[in-house]
Amino acid sequence: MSRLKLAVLASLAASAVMATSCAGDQSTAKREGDGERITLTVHRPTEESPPDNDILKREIDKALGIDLRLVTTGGTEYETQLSASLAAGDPPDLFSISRPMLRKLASQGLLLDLTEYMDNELTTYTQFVSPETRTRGKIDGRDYALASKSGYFYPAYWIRKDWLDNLGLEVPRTVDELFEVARAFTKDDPDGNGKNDTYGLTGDRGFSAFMPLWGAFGSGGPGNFYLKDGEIVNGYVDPATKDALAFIQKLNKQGVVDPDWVTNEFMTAHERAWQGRAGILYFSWSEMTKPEFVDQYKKANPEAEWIQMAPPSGPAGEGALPRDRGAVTLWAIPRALEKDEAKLQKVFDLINFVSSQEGNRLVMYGLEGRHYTLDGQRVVPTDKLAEEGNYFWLYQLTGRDDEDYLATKFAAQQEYIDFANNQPFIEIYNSLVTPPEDYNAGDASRFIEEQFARFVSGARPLSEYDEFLDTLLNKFGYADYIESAKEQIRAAGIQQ
Amino acid sequence: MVSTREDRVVNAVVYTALVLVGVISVFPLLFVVSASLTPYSEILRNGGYVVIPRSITLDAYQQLLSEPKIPRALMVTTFITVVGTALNMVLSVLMAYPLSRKDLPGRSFFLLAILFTMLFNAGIIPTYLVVKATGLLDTVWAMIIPNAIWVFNVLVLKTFFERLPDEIVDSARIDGAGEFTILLRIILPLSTPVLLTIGLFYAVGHWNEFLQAVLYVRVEELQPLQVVVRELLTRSQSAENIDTALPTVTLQMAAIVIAAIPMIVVYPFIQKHFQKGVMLGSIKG
Amino acid sequence: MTQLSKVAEVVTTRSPQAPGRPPARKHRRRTATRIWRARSLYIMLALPLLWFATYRYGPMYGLIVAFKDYNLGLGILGSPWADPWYKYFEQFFTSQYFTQLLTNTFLISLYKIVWGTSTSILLALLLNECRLSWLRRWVQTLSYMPHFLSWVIIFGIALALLSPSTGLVNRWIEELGGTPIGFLTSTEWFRTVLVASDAWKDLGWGAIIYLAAIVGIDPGLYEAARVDGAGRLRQIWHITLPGIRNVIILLFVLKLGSLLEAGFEHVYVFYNVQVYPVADIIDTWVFRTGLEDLNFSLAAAVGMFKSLVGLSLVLLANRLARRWDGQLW
Repeated sequence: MSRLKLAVLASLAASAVMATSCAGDQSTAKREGDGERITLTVHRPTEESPPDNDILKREIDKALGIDLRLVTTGGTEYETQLSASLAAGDPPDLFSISRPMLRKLASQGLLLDLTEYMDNELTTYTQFVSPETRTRGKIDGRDYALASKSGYFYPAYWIRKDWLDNLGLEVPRTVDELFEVARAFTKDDPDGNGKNDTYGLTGDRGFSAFMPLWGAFGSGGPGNFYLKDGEIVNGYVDPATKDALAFIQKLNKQGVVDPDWVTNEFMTAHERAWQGRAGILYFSWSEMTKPEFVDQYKKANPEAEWIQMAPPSGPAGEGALPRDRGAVTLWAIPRALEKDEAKLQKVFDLINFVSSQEGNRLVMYGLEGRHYTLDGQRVVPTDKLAEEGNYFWLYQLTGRDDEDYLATKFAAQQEYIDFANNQPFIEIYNSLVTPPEDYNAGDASRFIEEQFARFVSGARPLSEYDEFLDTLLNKFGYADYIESAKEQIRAAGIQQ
Repeated sequence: MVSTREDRVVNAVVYTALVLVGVISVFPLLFVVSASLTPYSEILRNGGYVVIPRSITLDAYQQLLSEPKIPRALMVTTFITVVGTALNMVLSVLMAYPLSRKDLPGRSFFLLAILFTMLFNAGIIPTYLVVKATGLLDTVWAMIIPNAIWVFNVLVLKTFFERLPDEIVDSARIDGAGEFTILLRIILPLSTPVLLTIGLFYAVGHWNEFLQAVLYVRVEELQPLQVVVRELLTRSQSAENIDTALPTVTLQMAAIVIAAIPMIVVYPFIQKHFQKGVMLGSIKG
Repeated sequence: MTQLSKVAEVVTTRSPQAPGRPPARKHRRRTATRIWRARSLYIMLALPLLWFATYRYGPMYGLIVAFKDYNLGLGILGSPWADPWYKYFEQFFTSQYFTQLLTNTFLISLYKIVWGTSTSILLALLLNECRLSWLRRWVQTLSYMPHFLSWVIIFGIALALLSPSTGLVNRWIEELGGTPIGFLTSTEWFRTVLVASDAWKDLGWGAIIYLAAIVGIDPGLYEAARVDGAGRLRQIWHITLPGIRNVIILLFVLKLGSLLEAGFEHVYVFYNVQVYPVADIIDTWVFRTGLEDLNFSLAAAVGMFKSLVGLSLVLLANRLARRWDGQLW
């Protein structure tokens, strides 16, 4: 008994000593810096954090003579923590930020105006990203954030090829064919197990199952802003949306959509598809073709064979997917750094470094010799890259060239990557829009979601769509929101 | 003792009800534990959860414990729990005992003042500023000191102290015992069950520490267990992080089991002290 | 040790009247004496009060953010006053959903308090009456365990049980010839699911405190009752329940104080677009409304509203509790 007590006490004491000594080390290191080195804190919102043995940090530190600390915080706590540190006057030296927050913080004078630096200190960065990308970080014509390079488009409709074959069906090309296939998947026992346990489509609560359908009717998707005949339009107001909604309502009313989509989280939808409960879903190629995933769904369902299909065409002609090229990561620098020129220079160095050929290659592929070898100018990854490189993206602050990156890291999936990126698109501009101050986005989006769910399920007839629109525009202030949004999009130079 | 008919009926009802409670409590937990032991492919094949897996694997546990982050986070959490709970208990007792004394001048004022802080929350940013001003930011103490006293627990303690007969205190005072002596030698020994209960509440609170860690501690080495577990539970892929390795359901469930086990193992030891009559019986004889 | 037994002697002999009530003298003098006599108690209070002053009252000035257009750069005190000063309260009160939010919050919270408290007390009584110590130990530990599952995990379990297409419960319903019920998407069932999952999660956890209170009841009372021929049910009714009355009242009063907190994380994880009309609560509304750009002023205004309601309820409840001698102060 007493020996047990002693052991417990000893282990507690040990943990106490350890924890306090950790704390001690850290705070002194933080205050003093690492000798001559300047400490840079970079904060980004993600659940993932770099490993203890952080190879990239060591390399970047070495290259720039800094002590780089990448801090990650997941979920909504990120913005809370960021706000708190800004209020306390010790913000990170570089932080990722949403566009509404960017506008707000810029107007409160908390962010460094980067306009003058862009063509001087930051030329490596400006050359790395396209001029269009750069506009994504502008607020009222001034550069307040560094936007990351926009990447490839990943998602597409995926369909069970083996189910099609079992039922003697072709890959659907139009929305009507899609409906027939979905109905067959639901009613005709595509997996031949004799049970009525399958659905045509599944998806998550974000209406993802229907994403590729709006375009077939000429709509850019509900709530999206896009150009139609040279004019900026909003998806709710566009009559084409109502047509698409009628078709989606038909899918749901005929029971060919997994009714659980309303409660499904993203991963639940994933699992349900892999379990063989539905034959069509809208997913990124990475979730469908990376070996670890294929392995899993093959083990669960050896016959399963998923293939991509183009967005179906419809009354408005060829199908298309809404794509927002401005949905990029934005990085801001606190204005307080203006006074600390040496540190500011190091922040610029960091941004330029990860945008330079050498630095960008480092944050994409790791160390030459260890993670990749060079065959001429071509990067050939080694097994170590897959083993140790899962977190490298955290350091891809200004983005990467997806064409090169994906071809190198996912050579086996090239066909799917190209398919997804070469689909027809409708460009949307939501990422340029910040809601005006007196617009209650919370109330409006609840109203929209609720009514849309009712339209989709057929609980509310589409004859009441105009009534819905009228309430939204007038009672929820959506008309003002649209006006403001159009102005902002025009200000970004989208419509002449 | 002769058992009456009522006794037998009551026993039958009690046992049936308790077995039922046991079943509804354990059944969903089986999901979690068996999911942590089942290979992911089998989970998928069975359409979600499995109650009794066909094949068992300890891979997930091995993987979690071999990653340095989890054992380190366990150490941090253990430290916070042990030191934090000790501090909590000292401060709470020091506060609850005087407040349980009806002859304390200003008692209502103090009670209202602390109750007010339970109802009105100053907000995250001003609290952050105070935590920073007191030098706790980015230290392990930021997860201990800002929540050193829970009003709820103080009020529970105070209520239990009030249940002790006034005569005990009065007579001890007649014998010339000071307040500290009365508290240490009389009140506390008579209050083992509630002290253990409050201690458990505090310990579990520390064990589940999450928000303060995320807000006040930006040092990787000081992340407590729940932060690491949350990381595993909510990790997802997007265009920018397609390389992220997604944890399987098996791994996530194993992380949950690891995070819960220590607090569950402790409980039976506390229960031992919940025997009927342990406290007054001991002095009244 | 010796002192303890001495005390025990004194207790058993019981002095007929509590000593130390001096006859009324000059008021100020008396107060001073009382304070001086309680000096050791104040010394005990010093450290905890210092902590409260620093970490609870120190940041309390932040409450004024509710009346300001909070600007992170200018700070809490430097930010301009909102125009009008009740701007953020108005935003909340004039929301299209205000009445619904209030109703939902109130009902969900009230059901949770009533069901959570009563099931926990019941379990504590059952455990106390259980004469098989192994059964008692097992059930006590098992019912305590769900407390350690987060709502996300419990939601996963709920889906596995209640989903209309794959849920176990719906499979049973189908086998019995019924039609599956969308428990999680039905406005009729959703609150029941919320309240039941809440009661389930904290069944054993909530019982701990009542068990601790039951342990403190003088066993002599039970013996006396047995001698008088009282059965087990009468003992529960006349001894056990009155014996933990003040603990029940305390917990009830404190829960009333947070009546407008219906459990943000719980609802947020469980709800979906189809059940918003019965599930959307004040906290989920604040979260969604302030999500875009973190509106601290709105959050503070709503928080203040909730706190004021909680404060009035606690004051009222405390007044009522005096009748049963269960008041907090």
